[in-house]
Amino acid sequence: VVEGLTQRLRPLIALLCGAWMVAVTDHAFADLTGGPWIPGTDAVVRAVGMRQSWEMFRNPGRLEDTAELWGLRVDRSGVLLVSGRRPLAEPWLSWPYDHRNKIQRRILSNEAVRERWALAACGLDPDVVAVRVVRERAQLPAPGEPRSPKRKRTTEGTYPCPR
Amino acid sequence: VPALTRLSDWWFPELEPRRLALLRIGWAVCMAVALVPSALDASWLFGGPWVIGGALVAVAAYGAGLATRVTGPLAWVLFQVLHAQNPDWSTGGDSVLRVFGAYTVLMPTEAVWSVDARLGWTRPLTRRTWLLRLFQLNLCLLYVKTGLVKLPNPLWQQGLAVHYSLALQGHQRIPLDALLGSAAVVSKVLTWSTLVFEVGFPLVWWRRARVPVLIAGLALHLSIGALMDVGVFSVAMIWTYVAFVPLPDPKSLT
Repeated sequence: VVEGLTQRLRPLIALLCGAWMVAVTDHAFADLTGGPWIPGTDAVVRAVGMRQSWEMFRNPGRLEDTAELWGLRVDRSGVLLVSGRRPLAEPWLSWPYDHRNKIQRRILSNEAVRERWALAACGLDPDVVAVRVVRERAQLPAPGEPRSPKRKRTTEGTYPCPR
Repeated sequence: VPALTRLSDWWFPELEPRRLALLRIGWAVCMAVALVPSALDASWLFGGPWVIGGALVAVAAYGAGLATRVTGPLAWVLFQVLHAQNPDWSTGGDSVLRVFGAYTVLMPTEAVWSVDARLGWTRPLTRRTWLLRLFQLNLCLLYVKTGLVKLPNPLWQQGLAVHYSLALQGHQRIPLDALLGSAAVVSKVLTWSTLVFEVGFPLVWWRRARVPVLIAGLALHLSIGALMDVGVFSVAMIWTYVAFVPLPDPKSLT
């Protein structure tokens, strides 16, 4: 019965498949076309968990930002809890890719994420009363140039630890 | 109308059971690559191990072809839940697994190399064949979009994008500074050829160009994966090629 029905409905299924691809294209190309142009497509694509933008390495940039999390003690001394390059203390993220890219980027771009991770880092050292999130910015070397050791550091926020 | 009939028939290709099985197993392997390392940090990333643990069990069952019509969609839904729990966790490779996984888990992938096949729990291969077409078209859309979006960027126009991508220490697998210092021409060739490949990927529909296009893509993603830590992205992209790669006729192998 299902096979027979599928055969009969082929034109309708083909039409729906075509409509789906139009919707996905309208959604995915929205930033290039100034769209979405067809009302509702974006909402439908997102609602079924198929949102997509495909902007991998769109702008590699000439700068590289990483986040450092510094713990501040009562005597105002600082201790590096999480390096921008790799984890210093366990438990932090075991997998380098998660640590270096997935979370680093979000810590620097999103205030709520920054606060969440700063508060989580409080648990890495019992003497720490606050955590300071520092953006470490490095200039990438142009072709033929050596890598500069200079790093520019700016404080993104300081968060008191709940005790 | 014959033309319309042909057009509608195009959406219903004949499915090759081994291709479907490779899509299933490949997706499960890629999902494991994405999930296992993060499972080690489940309390940090997701507040507990339950959802990611459940996703891993479902992925393992789906990869083995056990109750695929349940375990595949379940694994995909749990993957979505993980992204909802922690949107910071999602990157390009995860998007590839999410989007193309959705098409895969709904296909009848259990006909061969599966527990379901041994138990006789298989669906006819004539069902949902259009999902393979959606998979293939979405893959073309991915490449064309990612190519077009780069075109206006000066670093891509000047041929410097590969140089600066390789200079990102957060992505480097091995220190590449010595190579970067002396390879401006290489960067230009690789940057521009990447753009040509991405925008030209739809040539994969032309039978004569299919194998060269897929080999070029394989070279691109293998080199990215070898030189840069981009998580599951390289493996996931290579997996998507299963939808296009010509499979040898099993009779010719015997």
